[in-house]
Amino acid sequence: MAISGKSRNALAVTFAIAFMATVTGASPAQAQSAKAEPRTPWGDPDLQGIWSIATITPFERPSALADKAQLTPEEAAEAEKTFLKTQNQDRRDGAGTEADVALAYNDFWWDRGTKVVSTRQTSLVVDPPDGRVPALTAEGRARATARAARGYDSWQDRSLWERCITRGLPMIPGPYNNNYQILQTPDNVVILHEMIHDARIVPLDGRPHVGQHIRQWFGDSRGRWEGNTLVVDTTNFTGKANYRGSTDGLHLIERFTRVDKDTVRYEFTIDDPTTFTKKWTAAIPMARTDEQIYEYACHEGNYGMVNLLKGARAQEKAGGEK
Amino acid sequence: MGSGFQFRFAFLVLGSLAVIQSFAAGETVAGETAAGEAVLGEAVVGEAVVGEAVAREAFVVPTFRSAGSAFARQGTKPAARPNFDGIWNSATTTPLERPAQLKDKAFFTPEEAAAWERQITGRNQAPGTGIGTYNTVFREYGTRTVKTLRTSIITDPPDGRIPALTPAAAEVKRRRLAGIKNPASAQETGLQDRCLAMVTTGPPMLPYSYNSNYQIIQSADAVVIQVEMIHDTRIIRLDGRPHLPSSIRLWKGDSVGRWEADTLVVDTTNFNDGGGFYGDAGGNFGWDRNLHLVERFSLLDKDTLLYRFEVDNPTAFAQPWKGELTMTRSTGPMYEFACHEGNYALPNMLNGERVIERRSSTPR
Amino acid sequence: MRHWMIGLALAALFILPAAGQTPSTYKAPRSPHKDGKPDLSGIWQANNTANWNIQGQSARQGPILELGAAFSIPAGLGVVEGDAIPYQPWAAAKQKENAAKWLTLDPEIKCYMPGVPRANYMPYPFQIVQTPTHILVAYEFASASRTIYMNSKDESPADTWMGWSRGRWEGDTLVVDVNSFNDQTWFDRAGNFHSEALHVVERYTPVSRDVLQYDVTIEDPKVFTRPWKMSMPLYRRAEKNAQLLEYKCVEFVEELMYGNLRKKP
Repeated sequence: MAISGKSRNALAVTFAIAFMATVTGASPAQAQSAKAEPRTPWGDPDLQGIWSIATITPFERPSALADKAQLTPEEAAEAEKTFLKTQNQDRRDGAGTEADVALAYNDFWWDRGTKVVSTRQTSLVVDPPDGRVPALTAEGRARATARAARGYDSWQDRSLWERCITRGLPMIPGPYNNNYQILQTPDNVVILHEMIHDARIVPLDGRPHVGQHIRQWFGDSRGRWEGNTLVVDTTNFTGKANYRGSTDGLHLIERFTRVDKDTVRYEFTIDDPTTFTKKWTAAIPMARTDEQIYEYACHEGNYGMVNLLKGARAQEKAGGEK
Repeated sequence: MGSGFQFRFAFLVLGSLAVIQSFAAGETVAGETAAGEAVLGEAVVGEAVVGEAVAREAFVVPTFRSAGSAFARQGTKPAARPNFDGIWNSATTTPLERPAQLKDKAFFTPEEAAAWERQITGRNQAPGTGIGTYNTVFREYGTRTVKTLRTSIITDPPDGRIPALTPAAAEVKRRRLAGIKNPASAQETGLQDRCLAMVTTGPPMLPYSYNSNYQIIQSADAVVIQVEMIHDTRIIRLDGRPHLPSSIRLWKGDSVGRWEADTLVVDTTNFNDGGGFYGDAGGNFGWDRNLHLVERFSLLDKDTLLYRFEVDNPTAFAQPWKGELTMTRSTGPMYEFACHEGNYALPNMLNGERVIERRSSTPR
Repeated sequence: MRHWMIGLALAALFILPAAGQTPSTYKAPRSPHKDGKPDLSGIWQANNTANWNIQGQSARQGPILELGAAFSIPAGLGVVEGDAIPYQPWAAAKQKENAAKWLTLDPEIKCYMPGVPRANYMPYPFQIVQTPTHILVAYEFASASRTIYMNSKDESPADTWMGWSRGRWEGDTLVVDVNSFNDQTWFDRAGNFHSEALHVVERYTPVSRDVLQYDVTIEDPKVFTRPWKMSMPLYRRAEKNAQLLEYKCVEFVEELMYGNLRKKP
């Protein structure tokens, strides 16, 4: 589209304000005021930097907040204070008990963040409007049940992160290492996931997706600019990726928009009709961080897997089975 | 290739021309040309004239062609390099080693050669004794002696026989032959039986009772000898790069070539521990990894290639030894020799050994 | 007159550059980040046997009988300058032990991150994504990657598998100083190893549109008696649709690593 840079900016600003009004129900005055974005030397919007998505905002809206899409500033501050009190992992719940083992990591290790997201939305899921993931299809439910029944027979029963294979897509906040670095060239955008040292390389040159026989944990991504937003289209997932029970038919669409100097708005839409009864979308502001990316050598130090299996085998031997 | 490279290249050209000029001026033009003509025009009898004549040349002639005009100005002619391109066959009635009854006789007369040919050819065509394997349909024995009328391929020692092995090498050979005679495993059979290597490839490249065929393709950087049996390719590089490091050992060794007037001189080292133990059919030579082989290729006439070799291996042989044969230009074509792919012989040999063992072992 | 021409000829021979360090007059296109530096972005791959053995070797039978010639060990010229690795005596013995126990000791077999420089000459492509402040090198093997911090004095927060890389430009050569390694990676499948004192200096020079000349100096006073060098070209994967795919091999080694802990039926 042959729109000049300036009017593209104006369009984006209008669009952003309108969108935020829809989501938050707040007046345009409370919406993010979009400034002129930084640009790369060749003229693309500049998303580069190191960004954190650590937040205490829950993924789905708590039932208590049912139709409340956004917290007031006071409510947000209160929530943060409460979180710090109740989630303190430095407390010990009785030495030698299982409850104490569950607190294996103390707060030194956790990095969930201490703040709600800057938009004060009450859940990361923004569509459906109730802030909750839509219902699973019958098939999706059956798969979820089968998965829940798995125990400790082998590593194949454990999650992808216990196996140190991948944290996969999309990017959602986790217990620690919520850090991502974005680098750009005219042909590629690279999103480096700190955990588990995954570099997503998104070509921008319009080439088609790889053939159907190639299935990958991160699928196959293609990017394009729509105004100031990087739109990343990802297919070719492996059925083993299994995000929230999704299949290899998952079609993931992500959007990255530089909102201000310290924020990139990250939004993703899950489209997998065999698993979810409808498409759904989450929005997670990414906040600039001064931290650097660390090497996350998961598999190389995966004592957890060995110990977990040894424990299960020991339990079986002792006669009790969980 | 930037301007810097061209500058250096020009430098090298100029430099080499200067070297050539200085050396050439010291030699008689006639001497150099005479050596060339001697190779092409005369029948080479007795000692190899060419090798000694060109030994006076002590430098590598650069391979670029633009020197033509420069040479003309100096009044010298570049030595005409033969073109070995084509298919060559080395099958011959001349044996590798001189038969005892020919003891000190190095050459046949033409009549004696013809008689020899009739005798050998007759013998080859006679039906064999025992179980019998290949009949003459499968053989390409060759019906002529070598063009030089020598009585054996081995020319030195003068008795035409491979010299004695050193004690250490003789012990290795004793062990290997014991294994070949009663192999406990595939690894104990001959290299030819395992389809790993055959005498026609060597090197040295020696004729066999079939498939003694070679295709030579020549370029400025390399002379490539495609050997029919066992579909091997000898790439002899001509760029003056040194031999491979000694940690790399190869069946065919590592060959480096240079031109001495109209003779291609090939120096080969880096052999592995195969030892030339091809098996009873192919011969058991007993050289070791220290083998240093020098081969010389030249043309006796446009249809005859003279192939000479020298085996220098003091840890294996009491003295060096030399050989020489002629190859005849052939129309071909070369065939694919899929040895390993059809190697029924090896499992059958091993199975036979196991059957013999079972039959001869005492019942428990 | 003849003598000076001979001198000229001899001089000409000495002007020729040493192997592995051919000075190039090629000028690569500049980075679209408009910092005036050559653009090394793209997908690259070594094409040699260094991952088998950084030194020269003959071919030999592989370790798994059933894999036959599909997985036997090829001959290789090696990439070490002078073909000699200056081990201290204790280390030379340890390397031989490593080589003998390769199947159980080589971290590559367990899909561990391969370290530097080995990541650059494994038989998988890698992608360089270049910006003025950070150069990311993403490796297909095990999804390993490293970030080269440009013109930085930052230190690594901890010892790592892939080391800590700081880069700068010398003309059109990217010079990368890598340290803060752990002692867990190898240089190849032949048991060549290092300690946590490893210090690597890499030089990447574009010598033509599709070739980078890659020279590495290895220094480790706990293991070697002096620094030593490796050298090799890196070739651009020039297919129009060239793309890194995944080689997330953790999944492929679970049976190997945890199989003895699988529940018996």
